[in-house]
Parts: sequence; structure tokens; C-alpha cells
Amino acid sequence: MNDELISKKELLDLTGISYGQLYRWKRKSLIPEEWFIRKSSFTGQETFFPKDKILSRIDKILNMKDGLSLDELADVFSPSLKEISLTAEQLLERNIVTSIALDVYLKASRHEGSFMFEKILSVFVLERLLQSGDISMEEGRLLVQTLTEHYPAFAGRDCELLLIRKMGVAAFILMSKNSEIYFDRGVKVVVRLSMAQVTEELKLKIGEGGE
Amino acid sequence: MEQSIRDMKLNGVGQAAGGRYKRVQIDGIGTIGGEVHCEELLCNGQLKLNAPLTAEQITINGTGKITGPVHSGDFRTDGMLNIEEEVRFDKLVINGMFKCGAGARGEHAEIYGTLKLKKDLQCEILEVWGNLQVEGLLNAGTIRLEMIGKCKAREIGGEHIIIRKRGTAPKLLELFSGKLASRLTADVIEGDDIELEHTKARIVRGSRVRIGPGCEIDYVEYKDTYEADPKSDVSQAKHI
Repeated sequence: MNDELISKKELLDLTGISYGQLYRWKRKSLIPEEWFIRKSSFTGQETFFPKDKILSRIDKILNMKDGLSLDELADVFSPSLKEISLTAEQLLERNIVTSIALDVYLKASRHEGSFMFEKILSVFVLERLLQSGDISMEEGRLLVQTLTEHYPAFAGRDCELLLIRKMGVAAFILMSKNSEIYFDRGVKVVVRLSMAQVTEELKLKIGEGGE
Repeated sequence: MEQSIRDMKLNGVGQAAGGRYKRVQIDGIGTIGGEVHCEELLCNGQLKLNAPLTAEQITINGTGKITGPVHSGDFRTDGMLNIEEEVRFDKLVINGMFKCGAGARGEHAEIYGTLKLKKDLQCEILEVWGNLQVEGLLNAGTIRLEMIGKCKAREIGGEHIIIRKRGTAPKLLELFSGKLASRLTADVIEGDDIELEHTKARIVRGSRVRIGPGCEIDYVEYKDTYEADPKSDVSQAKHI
């Protein structure tokens, strides 16, 4: 939350969008309410935004808006889970996950049939951490269990996934967004992932392959 | 376990619990204590609902007071409506007065009379003939406001913003007291196309800005075009 802020005026100058567009995107929930920060400045009350977040969001909107309607875009950015289901074959075919991650997932959860979005998300996160070499397959199972048991509790709200290690023992933590957490010195934070961001990436990936 | 959904009908003075209904009709004075889900709600007289309401269609002739949040498709009120929490609508038509203790969000709103909101109003099309008082942000694709009396909004944003005063001749009341004159007060107005009349604002920013008669504006910023009526007072205008 030491994010650098940018004023509305600077933002419009920088991106070339108009006031009308900005307000329209706000109405369509493409830009979350929390990003509109009202602060007093020397000209009176002004609206500010977290700089990095808003610039990357606007960049994405501008790049994608030709292909998708605003409502579809809003879907991509919302942290709630889309109604979608794919079979294991489709997941592999569309290169959303690899067979290694899928195997680990299937072993951990004894899952059958097609995958709902929430499940795909678990596999997607697993895939990501396995690929980056941050976790072993054994730890992957632990991850799958954590996500299956506790992720639904966040019910559409954004949360963060944390992986810590102390003396080689791994632990997964799911916590609500923007909460502060401190560890003792022996603890190493290996991974810190925003689930909303992963959800967004996954939705884009599914969107590209389908339709 | 398919159960047929029933109607609720209250005639005279009556009380009911909430629930799931197909059609709810109240003729007289009806008080409902619990949450209501229905396809259609019609009230002729007075409705008091101390819980949330979700309906595809709501028609109130008379007065309505709802303390919970309201979700509605078609929402029409002739008379007075008071809602204490958030309102969502597809289409909202008010003839009379609408007071809301929180914000409202929807597609299309038409207000003939008075609109008072404690928080933000967001919709695609907003048309108001009469009086408007929004304590938060008024955000709409198209805003057409024909003012009668004193109007107020903290911030206005949108694509097309048109603020006019109803009728041109000053009314008798306005001659006696300036306080009753039709006038909009806002802090910031931002949009693509902005047309203002009889407006007092601190900052107006837009692509195409037209300032009509009777305005009092501290600072205007415009991108493409700017016009100002000689009968209005603009302290500073800047092209960016």
C-alpha cells in the first residue's frame, strides 16, 4: 500500500482516454471501486489511482476491447468464478495445463469427470508452481488440498496464496487480500500469488482457446 | 420437491411474513416483516417492508418504505418511495419522490419529481425532470437534467451531460427568493460532451464544453471545443 498514486488528470494525459470512457468503465466494474481514492490536493478534492495497477488494467482493456464486449471484459476482471467446465482432454489440448500437473491433481483429489472453473484454477496454480520449480510434487498435493478445502470460503473475494518454508518443511497459507503477515527469521516466503490475478490470466487463457 | 409458488394478497390493513411468491398485491396498508422474492409486486396504498426485496417487476401507487436492499427489473412508483439501502434496477420510473439512504445502480432511470440519494448513482441513461440531490458521485452514460428548484451533486461524470433549466421565464417564486431558483451546485463535472445552464461548479473538465447562461464556474478545462455564454461567469478556461 506504498503504491505510487497517479491523479485522474495525469492518467488521462498518459493513456489518451477520455473522461467518458473512464466513467463508463467504472460503471461496468472494469475498474474496481477501491481504486478511486479521493484525496485533497491544492486544487481541492481530487481523485487518485494506484499507478501501476490502473495503467496495466487500462492497457489490457484497450488491447482487448476490440474482440470482447464491455460486459465480457467485466467478467474477465471480476474475481468471482465463471461458469465453465472442461474435460481433462480439453485442458491438455488447449495447453492450459500439462499432464504432469494434471496427474498430481488427480492423485491428490480422486477427481472424476469434467472440471469446473474452480478446479481448473487449482490445477492452473499447481501447474504454475511446479513449472517454476518452487514446489515438489509431494507439496503439490498439499496445495491441491488447501485450495479445495479453503478457497471456496473466500467466495469471490480476492485472496492471496502464500507458500512458506522453514527448515525445509513447506506450508501453504490462504489469506484475504492486503492483510499483513510477519514471520520469524527462519521462515522463507517462497511464493506469494494474488488469486485474482491468476484467475484473470486463466480466464484469458480459456477465452483465447475457446469460441 | 417442486412446489407451486403462490400469490399473496392483502386487502385493507394487513400484515404478512415474507417469503417466495409469484405475485404480491397490496390494496390498502400492508406491512411485510420478512424478505420477499416475487415475480411481480403491486401496491395500491401503502407498503412497509422491513426486509430485502427482490422482484422482476415492482409497481407502487402511493407510498412505499423499504428498509432492506432492493433488486428489481422494472421498477415504477407513482407517489413517494423511501428505501434505506442499495437499489438495483433495470428500469426505474418515478413520478413523485424517491429517497434512498444508500446508492443506486442500474440501466435506465426516469425521474419526474424529486430524487434524493445519500451515495452514488450509476446508470447508463438518467433523465430527470425536476429536482436532484445526490451526495455522492452521479455517473451515467447520458445525463439529461431539466431543473426545477435547487439541485445538488458532489461529482458528475459521464459521456453526455446536459443540464438545463426548465422554462426560460423566471418564476414568481424566484423573484421573491433567490434560494428557490433553479440551479445546480456541483464540485466537479467531468465528461465528453458537457452542456450546462445555471450551474455553479468548481471544476468542469471535458472534450466539448458549452457553458450556457447563468453559470458560475471557477475553472474549465477542455480538449476540443469551448463556448461560453456572455451571461455566465467563468473565472478561468484552459485548453489542453
